[in-house]
Parts: sequence; C-alpha cells; structure tokens
Amino acid sequence: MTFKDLIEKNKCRVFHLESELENQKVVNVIAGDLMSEVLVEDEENLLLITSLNSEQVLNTANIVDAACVLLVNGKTPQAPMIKMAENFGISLLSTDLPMFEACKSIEN
Amino acid sequence: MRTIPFSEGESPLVLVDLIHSTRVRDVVQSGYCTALKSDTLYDIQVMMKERHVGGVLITDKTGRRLLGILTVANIMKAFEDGTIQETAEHHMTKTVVTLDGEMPLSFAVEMFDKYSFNMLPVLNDEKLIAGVITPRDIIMYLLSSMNEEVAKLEESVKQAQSLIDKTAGADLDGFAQNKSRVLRYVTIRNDFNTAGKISNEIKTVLKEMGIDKKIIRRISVAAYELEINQVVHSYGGEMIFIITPEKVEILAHDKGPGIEDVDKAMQEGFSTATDWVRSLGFGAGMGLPNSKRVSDLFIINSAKGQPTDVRAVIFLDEKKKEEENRESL
Repeated sequence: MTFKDLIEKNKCRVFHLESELENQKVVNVIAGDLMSEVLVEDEENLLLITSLNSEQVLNTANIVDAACVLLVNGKTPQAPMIKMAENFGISLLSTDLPMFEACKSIEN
Repeated sequence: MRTIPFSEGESPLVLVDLIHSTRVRDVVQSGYCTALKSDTLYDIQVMMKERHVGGVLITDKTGRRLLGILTVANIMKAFEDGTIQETAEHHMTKTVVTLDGEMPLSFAVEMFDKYSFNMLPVLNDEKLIAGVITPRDIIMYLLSSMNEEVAKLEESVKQAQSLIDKTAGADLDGFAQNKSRVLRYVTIRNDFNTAGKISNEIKTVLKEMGIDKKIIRRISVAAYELEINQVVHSYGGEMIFIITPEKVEILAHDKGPGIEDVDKAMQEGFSTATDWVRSLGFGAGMGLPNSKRVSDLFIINSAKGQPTDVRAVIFLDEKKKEEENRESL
C-alpha cells in the first residue's frame, strides 16, 4: 500500500503532503496517543497514527523522523500544526475512521 | 501612568520567567504601620511623619484584620476641612484594593500601573494582614533577583566553557573548523506552547553539522524528554548543549522542586504527572528511562526540595565511546 492508496482508501483530508511521499510504500507504522511510546520507535520513514491533536504530535514526529502523521476520529489540526508540518516536511492527514479501523485498513 | 517596559514576546526568557514565577509573598514586607479607627487623624499624621510612611493600615484591636487605609491624601484633606482632630473611622478609605500572597508579582505590577496607589496591603489565606507591598519593594526585589540570574548565567557560561576546554584538548582541529558549539536555552514551567522547540532547534543544528542521522535521533529524543520534563515537572530551568567533534553533552538543570525518589523515577511507568499532562500525550512515566536508553552516559542528581541536574552524553564516534568505556572500567 502506498501513501496515495492510504489517502484514497481512508478518505483522508490532506493538510500537507510532501510530493515524493505519494508513491512511497507504507512500511513502518506506529499507532498510539502516548508520545513517549512513539519516541521509543527506531524505524525510519514512520507513519504515525494518533488521535492526539496537538503540536506535540508534530514535535514528536520530527524528533523520530516520521514521514507522515495520520489523525483519526475526524480530528482537524489547528493552523500552527499545519505550519509545523510544512516546516518539518512531514505530511499531515486526517481521517474520520477510528484508530482501530484506520490501522486495519493498512493491514489489509 | 506610563506602561511598564516589559514585553512577553521580546524580553529575555529569564526575565519573563522571573516575573511570572515570583509571587507577591516573596516580595511582601512585614514592617508596616497600623492604627485603630478610634485614633485621631492628628495622632496618625504625627506617626506617619515620625516613621516616614505615606500610608497607615487601620485595623481592629488585634492589629491583623484590615478595616481601612489612611494615606497622606486623607490627612491633607482633613487639614483643609478642619477635621484633623476627628477619628480615623469616618475619614479612612474603606474599600481597599488588596493583594493575595499567592498572586503572581506581574499582577501586583499591573495593579500599581492601573491605580495611583503607592502601597497595597497583602492578605493571607485567613484574610489577615500579611504585610504591605510598594513599587520600591518590587524594584528592589527584581533588581536583586536579576543580579542573581545574571551571576548564574555568567557561571553557567564559564562552566560550559571549561567543559569545552576539557573535552577540546584532543581535537583542536575540530574547533578550528568550527565543529564545536555550546547552546543554552531556558525552559518555562507549564509553557506547553513552546515545549519541544529547543529539541527541534538542536536537531536542525546537528543536521547542519552533518552528524549521523541515527545519532541525531538519539540526541533529539533525550533532549525532547528532558525538555518536556522541565516544562511539566519543574519550576523551569535551563538546557545546555555542548557539541564537540566526539560527543554531544546535554546538561539539564532546573530550579526544583526535585525528585523525591530518583530510583523510582527511573523506572518505566512511574509518573507523578497530572491528567492535564497526560492529555497532551506525556506523563506515561517514560521520560527519564527514554532519555537514559538513548544516552551512552546518563547521570541524574536530585532530591526533594532540590534542583534536578541531568547530564546525558551521546558519543558521535564509536571509537571514542569504546575508549571512554574502557577508561571508566
């Protein structure tokens, strides 16, 4: 599954998308709302799935070099978060699906 | 009255921190003059002259409960009206603006800015007089605190410099090529709007220096967890990054309140964080263990009521790491 597939399948709203990401495959995924747990992750090019809608999500994503943040449960990021995503070069998406469904869609 | 030349956005962080973290009770002076409502204005003005004060608190017989305030303006009016031999009861100001000892000093500054008072009474939890505060007290307190802060800053710059000097001996070339840097940042208590900024800035600096991506990630994780810890758990503090060609050293120093049981705090899952902190994605009790996990060397010093000092070192060069490990064995 590519990030393009992910966006289409989960009907994601796109707040920021790095152009080279679209055709990349989703390989490493971490899902959770505890940023300290995300910081333990060692994988590259992460997709971070979370229902936490705060600037600390983007700070955390940047620290672990995540490629993309997917907000679930229809969360809409605030303007400062979108700006951070642009500055850090991290794609920022949102889907109406709950966490479990969003994770399942990738597994399939 | 002119506004106070203090701007949150532009003033140095140490000053912003100082004016927000200081409480009225830190500045209050316990020496003040009181009189009873049955005392005559004439007797009170004699006392004011003798004690060189511009205002007197009118209290009940215990001297602790505030009934009103009498200032030079009241006395002048009494002389003018010919009522100087009357008692304070009918001439004092009864609706008095008071401060609570727990209020931030910035609030007292605002009050003096808003009203033309030269003195404000301060009450404790039981609404009894704790003392008075004057603009002079505030100026004196801020000046001496700023003095202390500047002395601390100078000391930390000196310490950082001596640390570089110590670590630099082996690789003077690195310094010549400007590969070494010392960066210092201040963290503010509960300031979640800027939390994370320091770590992300450090990450950018390290990237520009061409350091290995995986190592940058470890340094950033340690820095981020320590930064968040200072913001949510401490009264604020500072973070110093000493970057040399061999290693990056993070010195995180806060102003207390200290960790009661350091061993417990180092255990994964132990946390004293509030629900508010948890709602922001932290407080899972992983901050310190996470910082330690990514560090090659991790030393923490703290105790209840003391500042917390953390020194985390991450080597940039595997060979150096082995050498240092051998030396420490």
